[in-house]
Amino acid sequence: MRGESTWSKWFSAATSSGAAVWAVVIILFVLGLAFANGFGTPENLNNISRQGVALAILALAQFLVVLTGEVDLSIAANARLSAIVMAIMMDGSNDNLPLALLTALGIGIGIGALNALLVVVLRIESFIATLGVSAIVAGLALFIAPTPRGRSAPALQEFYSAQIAGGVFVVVVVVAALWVLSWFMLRRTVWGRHVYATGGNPHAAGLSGISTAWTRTSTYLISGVLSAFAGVVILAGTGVGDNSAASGLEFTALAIAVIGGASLAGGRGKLLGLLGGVVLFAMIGNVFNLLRIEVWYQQLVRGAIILIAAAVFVDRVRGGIIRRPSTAPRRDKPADTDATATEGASQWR
Amino acid sequence: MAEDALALALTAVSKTYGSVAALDAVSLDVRAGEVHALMGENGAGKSTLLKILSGVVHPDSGKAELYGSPLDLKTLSTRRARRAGIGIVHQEFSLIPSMTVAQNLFLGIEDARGGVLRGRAMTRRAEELLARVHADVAPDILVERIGVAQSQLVEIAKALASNVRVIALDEPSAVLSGDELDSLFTVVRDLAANDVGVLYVSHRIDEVFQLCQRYSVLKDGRNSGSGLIADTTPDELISLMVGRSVSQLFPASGAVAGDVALEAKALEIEGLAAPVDLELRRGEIVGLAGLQGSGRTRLARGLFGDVAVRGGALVVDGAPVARSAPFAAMSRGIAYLPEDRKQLGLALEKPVGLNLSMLAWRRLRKGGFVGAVGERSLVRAAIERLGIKTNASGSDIVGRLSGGNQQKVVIAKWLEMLPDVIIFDEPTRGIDVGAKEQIYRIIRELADGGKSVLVISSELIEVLGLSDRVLVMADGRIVGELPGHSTTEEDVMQLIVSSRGDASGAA
Repeated sequence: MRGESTWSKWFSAATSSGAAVWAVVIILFVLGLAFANGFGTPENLNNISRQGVALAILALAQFLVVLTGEVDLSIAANARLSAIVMAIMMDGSNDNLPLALLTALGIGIGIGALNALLVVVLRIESFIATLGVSAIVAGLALFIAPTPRGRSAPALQEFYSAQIAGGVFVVVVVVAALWVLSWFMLRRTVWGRHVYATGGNPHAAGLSGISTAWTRTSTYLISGVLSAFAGVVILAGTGVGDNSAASGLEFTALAIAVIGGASLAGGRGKLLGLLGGVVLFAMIGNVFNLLRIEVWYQQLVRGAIILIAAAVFVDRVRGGIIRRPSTAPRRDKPADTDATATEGASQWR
Repeated sequence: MAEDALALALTAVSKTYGSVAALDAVSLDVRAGEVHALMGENGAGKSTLLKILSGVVHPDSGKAELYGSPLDLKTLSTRRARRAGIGIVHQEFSLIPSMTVAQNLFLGIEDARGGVLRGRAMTRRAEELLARVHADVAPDILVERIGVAQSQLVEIAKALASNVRVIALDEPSAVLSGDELDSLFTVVRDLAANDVGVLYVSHRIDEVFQLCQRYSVLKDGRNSGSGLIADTTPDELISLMVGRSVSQLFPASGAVAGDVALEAKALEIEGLAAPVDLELRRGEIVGLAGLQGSGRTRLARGLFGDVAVRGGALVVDGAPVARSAPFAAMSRGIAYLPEDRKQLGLALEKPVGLNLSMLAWRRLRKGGFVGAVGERSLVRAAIERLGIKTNASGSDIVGRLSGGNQQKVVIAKWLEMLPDVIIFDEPTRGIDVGAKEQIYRIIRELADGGKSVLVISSELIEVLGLSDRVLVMADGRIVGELPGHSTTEEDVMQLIVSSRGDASGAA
């Protein structure tokens, strides 16, 4: 029994810190090296990193919102609409680049504000509210660009293919910097602490004088802006405004957040785990392509990974058949805890 | 003490919700350096008063002064109250389990420069604060990893973090016992010694006499009395709160124990030190006494099949229970009312009616549907039977009822299962004297009606006053049995201490 509890302690530490995801990443990496021809070349690895950039931004956007205990399902549609609008504005020239970027920023803030209005002010369940916003935004994107329209500015494409020493893409460095900044904001600022507190227990956070409404609003705004930035990167990569860009990535981002150890209930999750999830998903596609595995089969394996992760990592809903030691606070301590704790107690109450 | 400064003075504070006056011109003054008891039944207005002090609720009228300077209660926010030096230790924990102790201590008042946290400075201050409340925890440990007693101390430290000058503790002892309580008292006395004005809300008369210098009693939203603790008696305080005295709280035991309803034969419950042998008879109330951590709850949950049972037999009405699982226990007529009613006993955000009929749907169902007519009449009858203060149709949300009424809903819910054996785990935790008395009467009536009752309580006086027989537990085993009404608290302690053999010297 002792061994079991030590094991489960180790296990929960590994899952919540994201170490478990990294174990899977390493296994997949080794398998890739062993079986997929050309996987380990610097060119291929750099390509993987660049392919993962949009997902890395969207996962970050989703993660911030998930930390407060909400979700944002509008991130992919947001990125798509931003990319299409920018492509049309730029239309293959550099002239309108600043204006197009500003417009994308505006779209991001606008969608974030709409989400915040619905979820924070009108108190609609975030899953439904952002799903609705996502449908509207996606519909708008389809209306503007029924077929691929517009072209990206050449400067944007140059930015996308620019490399520094070792063949590392500049865009990857930029997104890495974004992640470092996010880490700093979450772990080293008052705002970050309030984000975790809001998700951890909104009632307690409110009693401590934290404005949970503002905290959640801020994460939706940032999520919106990050999604629009993902749109910029997607446009830079594809070069054209396409209404199928980023489709389904809102759920992939959600899955990554959960696999990386974030709790959908909010308040728990580390960027290191999230990064593991992003790397895992970016690598899977590449390895499978190199192995020439069919697309439907890739989908199947992705789904299986999500389910296994959910079964293993996620805090189980109460009342299931399988019982795991709860991570909830212990409100009472009956005999579960050390029986000698009150030894020698001299008084009754 | 007369020369002590007035720390907090409330004058004629009123607050109405709709047409109900929660507070009617209540006045209160707390001096610096004293522990002031605030007493009253649930619904008397104590929690409204604390909510006003913490800036969650704004009063309709009334004035407040903090160390002589006026405090505008109408514009007070939680943030401003903390800044002003008012610390509130809430009854429900306001700590965030997924964050560290230090992070919790400074939540909302983080030490930061330009929005960037000063982690090291906060850790250092956290250590000081934790030492001040005698909490034996590291600042960087997650709150979910520390026990309930330490959480309570951390809660107090959190209130202190904002340079507190007045602190209100809302039933801090409700979840503590023994040593934990002693260290809480030490902390509270330290605070008073440092010239903090302490407002101590409690239901427990004995601790008020141990700890406090003055008292104020509220009844039905009004001041019903105040004065020096030294000049009063427990009976006087209780009659100020409810108008009756302690000895009248427990109903007389008239029953003669009947057949054995439940028998445990060498039942090996996981987590207990020894196999359990016990008998529960119809018509009797058996008390289960023991210190926190002695295995009382574990034993009860073992009987109910909620923790693993490794061996032995559980016999109900002469036939063994086939499986150790709650549904098996329930189908044989065993009911277990958990100690944590908010988490485990109720669907807090659902209406009273739904909670009441939760266990009765087997009887109510017609085909695949729950019969609405049957459900309505059942709900009506249950509300009437236990005198639950709610609307007759049961459409009120359970979470909005008072603690005593919530507990009645839990009891009514389990009675709908038509149990023969009922296990009450802390049936009166956190509820006021008046409601306690009603719960005691209900329990006694159940026994008189032929049910077999097992009662677990941290309040020894309750176990002894209520039970016909008392089983005493220590260190995960039953160490003896005592008759109920004639036993004293000392007898029980003696039994526990002697069972401990060599380690008993300290006690």
